[in-house]
Amino acid sequence: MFGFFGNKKEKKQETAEHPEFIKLVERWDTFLSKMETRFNESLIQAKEALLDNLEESNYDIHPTLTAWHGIKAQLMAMGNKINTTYDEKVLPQMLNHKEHYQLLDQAAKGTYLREQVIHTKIERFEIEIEGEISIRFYNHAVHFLNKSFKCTQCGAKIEVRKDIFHAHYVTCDYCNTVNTFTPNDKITQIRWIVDNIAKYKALNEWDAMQKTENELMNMCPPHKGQDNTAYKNAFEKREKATRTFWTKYFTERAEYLPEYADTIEHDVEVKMKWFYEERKRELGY
Amino acid sequence: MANPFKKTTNNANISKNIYGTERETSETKTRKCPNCGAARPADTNLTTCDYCGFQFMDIKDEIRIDDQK
Repeated sequence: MFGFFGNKKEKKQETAEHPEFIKLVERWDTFLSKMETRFNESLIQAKEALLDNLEESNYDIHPTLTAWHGIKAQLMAMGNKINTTYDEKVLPQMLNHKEHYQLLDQAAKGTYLREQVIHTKIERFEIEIEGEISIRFYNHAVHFLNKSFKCTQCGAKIEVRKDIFHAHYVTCDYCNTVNTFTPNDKITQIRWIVDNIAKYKALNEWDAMQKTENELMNMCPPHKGQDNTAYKNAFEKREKATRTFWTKYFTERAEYLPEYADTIEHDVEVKMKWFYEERKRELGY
Repeated sequence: MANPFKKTTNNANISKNIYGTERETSETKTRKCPNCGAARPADTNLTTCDYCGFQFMDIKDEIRIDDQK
């Protein structure tokens, strides 16, 4: 009537499939697709730059890992860019055609790309790149332990251990004198990167663990009195996958650091402690 | 197209902090008793000279070399 009481929402719904709105959606989809492509290309470039840097710096691991943290921040910023673009540019224009609540699926596209694609890929890429850098560094640094060392008392050749990466005593087989072997910095640094190698070697188990975590996250926790069999099964699946990952991780670590071989079982239990605490909260046992 | 991350790696190389002196070579050392000149043999308490009793370290605990090989 006279158009005074014309419902604003109705008007917007009338223009819901307006060509302008469809164009906006298309532009938004194109932007997201370009961001994903650029992100994937960036991962390749990051890997190339970091591995090159390790070699060019004569296997100086510090700047390479520092650079990785800088690059990681840049990759994360790409995810944030999606949010800001949506909030500042896309949403205000779309609001001319639809209500806020009707645009949730458009916002969800950006959130999915940021959270499920970019963040997840960065998390996995971190294990990969730190692992590859560490393996290359290890292969370079471990050669320093193969050099010939002599007893400073009698001059006979002494054998230093290949699995201790800090100063340690070595007995001369000829004169029985105790020598102190002090490794160079690169040998010492091996200890810092062994964990990266162990995690990298357990990457398949990490993937399986992530999969079970996602499966559980996609399920609704049961209410009190509701049948929780499916949820419980998903929890058990996740428990098994988490335990397998940590067992593999600590076993791989002990390959490089045999001093930890005896504590694998204990270390796995320590890592699983939070899991059982969570299960107690969620499922009461 | 030039790799945009090269700039980040170059910056990391330039801005690297060096704490103290970097040890580029490994070394072996034997400690001789300043009192009698004897070296420290294996299977003895490494805190004290096995020959003249001189104390290398001012601690009560015994330090013995672990089995190495």
